[in-house]
Amino acid sequence: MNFELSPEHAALRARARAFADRLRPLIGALDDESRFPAEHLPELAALGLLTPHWPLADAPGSDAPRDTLAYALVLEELARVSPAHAIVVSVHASLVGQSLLAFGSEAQKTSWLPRMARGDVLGAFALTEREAGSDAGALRTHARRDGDGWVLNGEKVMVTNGGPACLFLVFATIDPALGSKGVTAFLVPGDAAGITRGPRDRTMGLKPADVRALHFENVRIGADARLGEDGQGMKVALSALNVGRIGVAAQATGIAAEMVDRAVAYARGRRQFGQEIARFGAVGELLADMAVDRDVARLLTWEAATARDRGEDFSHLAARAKWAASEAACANADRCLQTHGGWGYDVSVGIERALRDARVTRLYEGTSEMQKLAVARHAVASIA
Amino acid sequence: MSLDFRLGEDHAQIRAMVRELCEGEFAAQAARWDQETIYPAEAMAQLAELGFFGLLVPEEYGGVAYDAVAYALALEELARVSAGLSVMISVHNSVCCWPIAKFGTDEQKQRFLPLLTSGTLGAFSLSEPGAGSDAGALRCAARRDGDHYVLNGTKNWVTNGAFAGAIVLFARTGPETGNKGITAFVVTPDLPGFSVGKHEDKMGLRASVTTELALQDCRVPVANRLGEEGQGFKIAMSTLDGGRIGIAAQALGIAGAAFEEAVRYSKARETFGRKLHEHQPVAFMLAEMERRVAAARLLMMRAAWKRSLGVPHLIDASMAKLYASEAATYCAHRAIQVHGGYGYVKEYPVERYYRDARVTEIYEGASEIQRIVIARELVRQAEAAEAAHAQEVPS
Repeated sequence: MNFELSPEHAALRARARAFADRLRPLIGALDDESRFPAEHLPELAALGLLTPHWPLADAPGSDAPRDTLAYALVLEELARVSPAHAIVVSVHASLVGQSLLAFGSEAQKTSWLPRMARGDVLGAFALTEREAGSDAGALRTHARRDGDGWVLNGEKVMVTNGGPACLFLVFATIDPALGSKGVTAFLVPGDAAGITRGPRDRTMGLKPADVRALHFENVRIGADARLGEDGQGMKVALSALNVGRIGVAAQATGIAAEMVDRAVAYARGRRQFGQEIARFGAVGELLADMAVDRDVARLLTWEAATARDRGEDFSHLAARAKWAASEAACANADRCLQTHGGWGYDVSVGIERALRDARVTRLYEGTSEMQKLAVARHAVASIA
Repeated sequence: MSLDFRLGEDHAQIRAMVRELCEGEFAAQAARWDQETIYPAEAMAQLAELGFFGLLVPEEYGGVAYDAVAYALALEELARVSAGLSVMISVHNSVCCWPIAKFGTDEQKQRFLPLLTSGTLGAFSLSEPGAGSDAGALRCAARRDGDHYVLNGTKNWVTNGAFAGAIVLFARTGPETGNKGITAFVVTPDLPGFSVGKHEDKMGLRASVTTELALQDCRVPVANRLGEEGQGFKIAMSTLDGGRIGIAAQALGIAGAAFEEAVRYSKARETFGRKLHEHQPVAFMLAEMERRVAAARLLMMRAAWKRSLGVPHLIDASMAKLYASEAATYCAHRAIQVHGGYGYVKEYPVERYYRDARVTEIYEGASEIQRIVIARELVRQAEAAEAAHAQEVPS
C-alpha cells in the first residue's frame, strides 16, 4: 500500500504543471475567440505531454514514466488551466492512439504513431452520429467493400479535433443487418477525397476545442485502412473509451482541484463583516465539501489508472472514476462560483468558464447514467 | 515504490482472519443483541482472548500493536456484522488504551495497560450535558487536595462506561472557561464518589452500553493524572484524531454491509417480470452506494496509511470520518429503499444498519465539526504554500 506518487511521477506532474501555468494568461482569449490552440501542440509533444502513456522508447519525453497514471497526472494538470487542452490530448492520445497501439498492425503503427507523437498528425475519433450516441451500435455510416478497400458514406457528429485532425478513426458498419456486430473501425486520412467538414459546433464550453460534424461521401480508403477485423469495431470503440474515461476523469479532477484552490484563495483574501470569509462556517462548509470531492475524484482516478497499469480489469473502475470526477467538477465549479459571490458571475474572473467547461464531462465518453449502469452491473456480477 | 492502493499481504491476512471470526457466531447473534439490547459478553470475552483488547498497545504491555491500517480493517470487519461490537472495541482501543500508551507514565502504563489488554474494558469520557462538540465548555471540576484531585460533575454519552475498569476522563483544573485548564485523568470505578448513572436508550448501537457517569467528591489520586495539568484538551484532540479513523472504519463497515445486502436482495427479488437490479432506478441506487463505499474506503485507507507512517493526517482523518459516515447513512437509507417494505421490518438487517449508521455522523466530532477542521486545514495549507513560495522567489 502506498498513497504517495513516486518521485518520477511527481516530476512529470511538475513538468505538466509548469507548462500549464505558462498557458494561464492565454486561456481567457482562446475561450472568447473559440480559437483552437494549434501552436501549443509541438511544445506539448516536445515535453512528452501529448502522448504521455504511449510505451514507445523513442517518443519525446521518454525519460518520464509512460503509463496510465502518467497520463492521468498530465491531463489533470492541463485541465486545471485549460480543460480544452486536456480533451484535445485525450482524444488524440487515448481514443485514437491507444486504439492504434492495441489493435493496429505493425505497418499501421509505423505509419501513424511517430507522426502523432511529434504532434505532426492530430487524431480524431468519429463514432457518434445523430441517432447513435450512448447506443453507439446503432450507427448508420456505411463501409461498402470496393476491391481491396472500402467506400465510406455517412455523417458523424460532435467530433472533437474534427477540423485540424489529419487522422480520423471512423466507425462504420459493413452490413447494417448485422447490428453492432457489423461495426468496423477504419483509419481515414484527414485529406481523403469526399470528406467535408461541417462548421465548428458552437458549444457551451471547451470552446478552444474544435468540435464539428464530418460528412463522408464516397470516401475511398485502401486495404490498409481497417483497424482490427471486420465486426471488431465495437470492441475497438469500447476499449478506447475505457482508457478515455480515465482521461476524462483526470480532466474533471483537474477542474475540481483548480476550483478548490481558487475558492480558498478568494475566501482568504475577501473580507466581510470584519473578517476573512474563509473563517465563516458557511464558507468553510463549501470549501470542505469541495476538497473532499476533489480527493475522492483523484483517488478513484488513480485507482483506475494503476489497475490498468497492472494489467487488471479496470473498466468498472474507469466508469466509477469518470462518473464521480465529472460530478465533482461540476459541483466544485458551482461551489467556487458561489464562494466568489457576484464576482464569480463576471466572465473575466474565469470561474463561469470552468462551470461551462465542466458540464460536458458528465456527458461525453459515456454519460453519467451509462457509467452508473456499468458500475451497477459490475456490482451485481461480483457480489454473490 | 509506485502508487498502489491495494492491501499488502499482511493486511489482507488480518482482514481475512477477522472476517472469518465475525461471519460465524457474531453474525448469527448480531440481530438478537440489537433487538434485545444485550451486551454481548461472550463475544467480548472471545475478542479479548484473541487480542482485540490490545490492538494499539505495545507487546510489552500485552498488546498486539497493530498499525493504523490493520486496526482500521479490524474495526471495519467487526462493524460489517455488528456496529455495536465495533464501537465498544473502537472506544476501548482508540480512545482509552491509546492515550494511556501515548501520554501515560511508565508506572501508569504498567498499572493500566496489562489490565486493559487482558479483558478489562476501557472508556473515554469527555462529553457533558452542556459540552459536546464544544469540548472546551466542559464544567466537571477537579480541585487539587494534597495527593488527590476531587472531581465533581456529570459526564454523559460514555460508551463502555457501565463496565469499564479504566476511564480516560477530562475535567477542569484551571480557569473557568476555554480549552486551557482541562486535565486528563484515568478514573477507575472503585474510587469513592464514582457512580454510573442512567443507561441511554439509544436509536442504534444497542449492543453497546452508553451511560452517564456521576462524580461526587470523587477522589482521584494524582498518580492517575494523564499528562500535565492543562494538557487535557491537547490529549483529547490528539486522541480523537485516531478515533476518527476508527469511526470512518466503522461507518465503512456499515456502508459496505448495507450495499451488499441491497445487491443480494436485488438479485433475489423479481418485479414486473425482471430481477430488481434490472430496473434502472434500482441499478442507479446500487451504483450510488458502490461509489460511496469505494471512495470511503480509499479516504479511510489513506488516513490510516499516513497515520501508520507517523506523517500528518489531520485533514485526511476528518475527510475520512466525514465522508464515510455520510456514506453509511446514505447506503443504509438506500438499502432500505431497495428492500421496499421488507427493509422496514426487523426480519432483514437493513433497518438495523440505518439506526446504527446514524450516530457515525454525530459522535467523535459531528460532520459540521469535521468540515470546520477541513476548511481550517485548507486555509493553513494555502498559507504554508504561500510562505514556501515567498521564500523560493524573493520579490
